[in-house]
Amino acid sequence: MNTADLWTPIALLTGTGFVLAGIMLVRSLVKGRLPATSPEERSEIASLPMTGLQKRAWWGLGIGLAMVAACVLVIARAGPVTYFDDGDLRLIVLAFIMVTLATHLVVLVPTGLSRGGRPTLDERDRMVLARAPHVQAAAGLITVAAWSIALTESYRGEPGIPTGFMSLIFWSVFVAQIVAHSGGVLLGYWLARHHGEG
Amino acid sequence: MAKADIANCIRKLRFEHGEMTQKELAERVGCTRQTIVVLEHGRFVPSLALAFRIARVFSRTLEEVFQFEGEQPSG
Repeated sequence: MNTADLWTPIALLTGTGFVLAGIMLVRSLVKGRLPATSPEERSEIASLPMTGLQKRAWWGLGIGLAMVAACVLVIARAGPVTYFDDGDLRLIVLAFIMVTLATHLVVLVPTGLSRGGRPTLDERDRMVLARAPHVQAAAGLITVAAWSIALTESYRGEPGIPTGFMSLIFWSVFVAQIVAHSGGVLLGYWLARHHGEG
Repeated sequence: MAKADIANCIRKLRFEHGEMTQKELAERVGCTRQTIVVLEHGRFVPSLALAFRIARVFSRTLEEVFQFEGEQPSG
């Protein structure tokens, strides 16, 4: 039997496995929570001012996504090969990544510190923050999967893939993790609003 | 419909204490107003420390503010 014939079913099985794993992840996040909130409860919570952590997460997500868009635009306009050979372009992209990291450090990391002797996070915020790494793990996995599919398809039949992609893959996973932290916090508040705390 | 296993009468106690606002209670116990709202709806089970702080604000015992509604252990 030709081993090449095996790749299509293997790819299909792997894809199905990933989809099932995603469904199980979402189910595990929702399972064990309280019954869905009523529209009145949702509207009351939605009418309240955002918590400090929620505001910071929106800032982190907004600036992070803007920086990701800027990086994609720069690399897509130049093309990956030009990008790898052009030190100035690489520096620009690195600057965007550092802005994303700095924003994350300013808006999300110091939230665990106390301000004027009073903690800036309460226990519900801490619970939401503790669940955010689930989303970070998923974001990292999806980024790597997207790269492997894109590169495999683009360089099919070629002797190799340019080594420059290695750093691009690293930085994209790094940025995805940072942005997904803010996204995970906001998802946590959304789940709490719609499915109770559990 | 059953919510959390821990019920509470925070809303009633706030009104008995000069119609204390959710914001004021939140500031006195060191949490956000959102946490007080979800607590009142029985959507959040507080830590023991927060439960004690809330009970202390109303000068009540813990069991006067929070009631366990889960099943009793058998045996």
